[in-house]
Amino acid sequence: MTFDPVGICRIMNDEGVKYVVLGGFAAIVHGSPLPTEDIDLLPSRDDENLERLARALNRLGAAIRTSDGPVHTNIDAGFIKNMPNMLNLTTKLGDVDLVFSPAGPLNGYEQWNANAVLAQLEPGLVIVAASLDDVIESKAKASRAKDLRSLPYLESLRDELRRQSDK
Amino acid sequence: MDEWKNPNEDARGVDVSQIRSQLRMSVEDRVRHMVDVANAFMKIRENVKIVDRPLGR
Repeated sequence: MTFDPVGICRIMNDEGVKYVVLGGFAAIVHGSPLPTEDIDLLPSRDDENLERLARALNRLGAAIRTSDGPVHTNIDAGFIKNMPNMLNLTTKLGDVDLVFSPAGPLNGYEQWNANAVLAQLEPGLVIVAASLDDVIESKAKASRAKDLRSLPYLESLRDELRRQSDK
Repeated sequence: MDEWKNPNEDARGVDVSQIRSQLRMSVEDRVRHMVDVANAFMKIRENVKIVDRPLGR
């Protein structure tokens, strides 16, 4: 399988989905040197957006990602709405995690979106990526081993960005 | 004996040259580069075979 997060975002944008990119991929947008093999998306949970999100996921051939392999099911807006915290998916363009309640002090799409940046991934494709501060704070709060491993890199990246902006 | 230290590492042990290299690229280029890296890792994982043949036997 090839991981194509730009292609995933292209389909999300094409369907008009409102989402914020979180986690490792957002960190890459800011300059992180740590690769990631999935993309974390925080979608707006309003009904219309969940309809758009379901359309995008169906175009991507999304299935539930489990340790025993993909489980194909009907992913519609109602199904997504019933997911309280997270939905781990695998798609033909790579793994997608829908994160509805990211760790940290920010509560939901609106608050993450308020601090986020716009980033162009290719001509005509602009995404909303979580701020580096919010990514760091969320990873520190989540405190999983992989989050803790990435924190020194992200904190040094933040220092470097500040240093460069002070010049 | 003094312990050798990578001169590019900061106090956290992070090689800052890698971060600066990312920051010299445009967002589009850095995303493309990191996606290529991730795909290369995935391909290696898919194809790697551990050959368990200890040396000297």
